[in-house]
Amino acid sequence: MIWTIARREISEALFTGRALLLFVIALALLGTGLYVMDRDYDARRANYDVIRPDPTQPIAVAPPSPLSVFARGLDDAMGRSFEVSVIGIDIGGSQASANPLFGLFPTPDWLYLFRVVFALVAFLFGFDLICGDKERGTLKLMVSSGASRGAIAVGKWLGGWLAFLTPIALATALWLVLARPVFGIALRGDDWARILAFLALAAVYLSVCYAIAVAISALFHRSGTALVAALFTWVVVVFVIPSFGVLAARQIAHVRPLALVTAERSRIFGSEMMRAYEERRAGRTGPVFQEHWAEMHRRGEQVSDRVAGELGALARTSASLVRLSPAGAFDGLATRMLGTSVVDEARLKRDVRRYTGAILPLVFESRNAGAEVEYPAFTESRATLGRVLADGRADLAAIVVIGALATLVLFVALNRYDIR
Amino acid sequence: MLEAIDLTKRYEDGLLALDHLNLTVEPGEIFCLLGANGAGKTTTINLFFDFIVPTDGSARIDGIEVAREPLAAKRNAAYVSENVMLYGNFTARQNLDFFAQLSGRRELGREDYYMVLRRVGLQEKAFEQRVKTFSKGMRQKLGIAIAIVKDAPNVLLDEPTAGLDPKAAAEFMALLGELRGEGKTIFMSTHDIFRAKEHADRVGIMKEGRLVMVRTRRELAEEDLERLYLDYMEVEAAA
Repeated sequence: MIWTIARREISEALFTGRALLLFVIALALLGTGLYVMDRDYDARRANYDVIRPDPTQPIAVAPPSPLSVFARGLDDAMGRSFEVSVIGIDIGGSQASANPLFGLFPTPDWLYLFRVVFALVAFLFGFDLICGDKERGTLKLMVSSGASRGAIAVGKWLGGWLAFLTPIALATALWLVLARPVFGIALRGDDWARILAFLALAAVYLSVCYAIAVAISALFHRSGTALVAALFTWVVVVFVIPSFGVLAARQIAHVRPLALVTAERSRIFGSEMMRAYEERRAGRTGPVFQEHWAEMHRRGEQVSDRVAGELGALARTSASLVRLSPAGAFDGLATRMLGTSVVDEARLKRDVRRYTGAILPLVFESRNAGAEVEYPAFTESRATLGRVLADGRADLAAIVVIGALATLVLFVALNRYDIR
Repeated sequence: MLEAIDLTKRYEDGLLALDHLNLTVEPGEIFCLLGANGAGKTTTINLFFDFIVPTDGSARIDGIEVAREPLAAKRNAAYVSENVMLYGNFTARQNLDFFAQLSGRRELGREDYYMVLRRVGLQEKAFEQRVKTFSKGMRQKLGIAIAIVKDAPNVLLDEPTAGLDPKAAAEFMALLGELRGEGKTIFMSTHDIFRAKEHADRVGIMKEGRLVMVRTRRELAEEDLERLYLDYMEVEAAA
């Protein structure tokens, strides 16, 4: 009985051309997104090639990630150069994106398409699943035919879900196959695993959006009202909760202003240099300045640790609030999977600090000797996919729990639904 | 067999739509329920199909209480509404197939459906036509075809001839007569006094949720049903 109802929903989507239309739209959007983001990646890669240091420069810079084509996240910030000197780390400006309009408008990567655009499609596919049938009068006939309300809920959900997800899945699969021959996007084995995990997560996220929409359809009796409720919910889920979550986190988790941090570093630099000069004037010999630079570095590290701790707390609070929305949780976990998340940016900064600590003696040596020194190449660490999934289980759990709640609402609402 | 035992329905807004209805409709009988709009006719049918739950009393289909075992009870009843609404993008045969499968009739094939569609008088060329092009009369025929395919012993119809032209209504009633001949229990709400008198074995008049009169075909042969109906309406209005 469930499959009979599901099949009817699929047939309806095929008859009305909705499925074909969605396939064409998904194909166009995903292809355009891939094209634009690939061009952007090429430009960032070219910038990286220009600023890539030779072995005599104490500079740490990470190449743009090919996975940023699918979810750019914080890849721009992660592509900045970090020049190590005796007085600290000089952070270069963000690599200019090929498209400055990205600053004004959202990046049209696949993450955006799934999180915003296809989520909207999910709401549009599901908002009238139950109330539409009531309006047409067919729900009465289905219930009188002997179908249980539970079977109707599951059957309609399943059929509508397949009709909605299949065209998107086909378009996505097509572009994955064409990514290399058309755009030259070369992915390694691990990258493929991450992309597939990302797409699986996207399917779960879209299913949850669809479940919310279907639950809405069982809470209203008119499809017009249900449409308004669905659109409002989409706005809240996709935009309002994530934005408010980040803003609220800033009120909860205190992070001192950057100007104060810079002033503190300058004060440390000034006081250590002053002490070094005084000691030298007092007749002390030996590597006085080197000792005070080392002390300055140590104290600077303490400031960095404190700031990193504050930023970490802010990031954790933000993530906790943002995952109240499936869109926020999806964004958090998807960018982790593709290596462009807040966590990855923080890891890169830790790598840079570790690199700084490792090469600082060489920097002193170079400065004292007045000669060029060869520095070891900077390498960034990357969390394995297994680690990402383990660390991101809270995001995944949030998505699943919200989906389960929506399904529960659907069943309760349909059982109490006035079919007259 | 259909039974209403002290069947009562009061809506959330306080409206008493059905007031202790006691009624039995036997197999092989057509029972027509007359009454003004809002008298409680549709509420009675809604209660038999678990579209709404009774405030008091019980509705039983072949001895099964609907509120307790709705699925088991509904297996024994078919429903035809005033405006049979179907899936417009499906053909007549596809609609029939869909609802037959929901009713548990999975063994039927295309020819079985065609046979039923012929029986209800649908033109052959309409069998594979999308239902969104159908007239009301054609949809009502398809509605009764769905009820026939379900092969339930009880058929409940909610003003099925409303809006049909006289010829279509006559054909529809003739079909109900055939179903009665097969031993089905037919319960029909209607405004059509003349067809009720002509085809029903018993006629009931409902007023403000109460069954105020029941007459057999034999009794009605000696009485003017229209006069009776109007008298009951006037008496109630005067009261």
